[in-house]
Amino acid sequence: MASAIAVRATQLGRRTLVLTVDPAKRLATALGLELGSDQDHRVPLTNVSGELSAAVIDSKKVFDGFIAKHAQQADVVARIMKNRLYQQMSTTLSGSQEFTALERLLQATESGKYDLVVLDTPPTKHAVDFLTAPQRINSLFQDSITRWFMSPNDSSTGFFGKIVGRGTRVALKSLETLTGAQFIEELIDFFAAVRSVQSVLRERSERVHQLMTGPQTGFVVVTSFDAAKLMEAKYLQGELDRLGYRLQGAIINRAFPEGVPDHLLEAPDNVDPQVYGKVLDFYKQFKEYHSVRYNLYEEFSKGLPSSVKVVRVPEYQRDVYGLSDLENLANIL
Amino acid sequence: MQATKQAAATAWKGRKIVFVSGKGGVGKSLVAAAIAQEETRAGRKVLLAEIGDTSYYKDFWNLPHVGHDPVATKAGFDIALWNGESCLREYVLFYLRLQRLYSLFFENKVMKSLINVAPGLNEIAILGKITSGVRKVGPPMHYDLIVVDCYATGHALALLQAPKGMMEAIKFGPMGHHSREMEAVIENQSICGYVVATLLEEMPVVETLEFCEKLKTQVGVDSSVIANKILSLPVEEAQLNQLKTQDPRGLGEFAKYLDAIFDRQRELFALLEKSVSRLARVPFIFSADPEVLVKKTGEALRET
Repeated sequence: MASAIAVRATQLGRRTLVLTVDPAKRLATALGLELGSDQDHRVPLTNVSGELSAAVIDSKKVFDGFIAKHAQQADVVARIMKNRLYQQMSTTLSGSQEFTALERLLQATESGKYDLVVLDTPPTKHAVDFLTAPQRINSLFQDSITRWFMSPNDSSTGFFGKIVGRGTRVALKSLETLTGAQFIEELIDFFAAVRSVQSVLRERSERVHQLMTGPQTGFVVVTSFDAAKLMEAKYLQGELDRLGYRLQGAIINRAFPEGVPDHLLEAPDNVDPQVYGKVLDFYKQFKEYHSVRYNLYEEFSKGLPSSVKVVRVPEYQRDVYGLSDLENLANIL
Repeated sequence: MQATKQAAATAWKGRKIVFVSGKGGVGKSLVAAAIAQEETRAGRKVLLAEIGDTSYYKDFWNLPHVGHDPVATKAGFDIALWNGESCLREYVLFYLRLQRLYSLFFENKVMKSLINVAPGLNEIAILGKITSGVRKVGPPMHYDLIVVDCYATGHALALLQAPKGMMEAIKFGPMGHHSREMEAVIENQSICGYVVATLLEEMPVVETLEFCEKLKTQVGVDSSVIANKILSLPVEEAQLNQLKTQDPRGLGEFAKYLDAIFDRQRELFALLEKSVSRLARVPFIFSADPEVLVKKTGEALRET
């Protein structure tokens, strides 16, 4: 859906970039994306006045690039890259995706190359983690906190050093009891190493937060005709509101297509009445099933502020195979 | 090459833990609930564990509250909602024993921030809880089976890989030890089963196949695939095609719609059949009633 929004913006003449974390293969092929490249690719759309680019976010590359750029000294870069927790964080462990996606978003908006950047976020449960990532990163890399994890070799303070309050000392000691000395050592090394980039990290996370809460940024919730999914979307809407983000649109996917008008539901003479009856019963069952969902959707739509645009995308849309399918979807949007 | 066929239920029959994942929106929570119900019906004591900060089942079953501690459902199994912080809290309280120390730990600003962003800590805490019964670590859990309504595919893979990542980084001490134990449980397929739910649509199917492949190569486990919401035609395909031309402005329109879905389903089901060894189908269920949905999905899984 993020790609279709980007195509629509391109149709409207804007220079657009769509950033995605984990695209399906055919969609990636359609957009000309190469996994692991992390480069912006021009997508060959014809008959549009704008320009469309697309990129897959490669967490490891973004992370390593960020460290290499901001740590400045080669030995510091090497130390961070060597830290085993950093290696795990920037490759296999989740949690880093939020940071790298937001960093990539900021880079793209600051490049001046695009009028619109569309970021495909993870599904709902992780979307909230995603939205709070700037504050979480900011709170962790405050100087007052990283100081607690300074190296024991640092003569001014040291781990469990003088500046640590008694409460923190006890809490850290408890963590050491539970996880072991090696884990704590790696943590100390991790925080000591990233301390050199903490001011940049803090500054970047503040800028991301400003960007995300600013008037130039809007959020679009994609949901479907399903009670629980609509409840999830409602929850996300509440979270967006609470965190100061602006919801601008809701896309309801897999809506039942417009039904057949009642006056046309009469068996023509040339049709086997038994066949017609069976298909008609099935159609009625289908229509009833979707009308229940339609009521839920109505309820959901009424609960949204009037500034939020709601779009229904019909069920009969076939799968997105290529650019022409994306353009069809964009036309509906 | 076509793999030897096995029943999809191999993923949960006789297992102690089953992880259910899938692309967002394909019905994985429903499949997880149906497995929980079927195994309860078979006489096992089952916990359905949700992972995350918000409960899907709370609204699904209109329950007053779903939190870390299990609550009973009308269906006969229990439900709990686990996240990194709640699992770590329980673990810390269990081992530190002293409430005062525990409060100090969690009310501390450093700890709060650290738990949120320390690499891998959340994942290890959640997997630690899921596997704690089998590993006999922490508070006892009296369940024969834990059905985990896991994250969607990408995050599920990160969760399942966390112990391996952690044990490579931390070899010694309790963290290294627990990570090795968790890894051994996750890889042991007589203990853990893996289920991937999908719709018969292009993107979910492609994502399912990629995820199954990664489970195999990166986690070292086999998985069962559940194809959800499969439509059956009310008449023969030829009759449907005839209706399309005989009544093009009326019911023929609906026939066209059904035929397109049916073609897509057939093509994608064949692709799954060719690629996975354990495959089950769940029909499209014309109901919004959670009890009906879970019951009928369970019945379909029973026949696999």
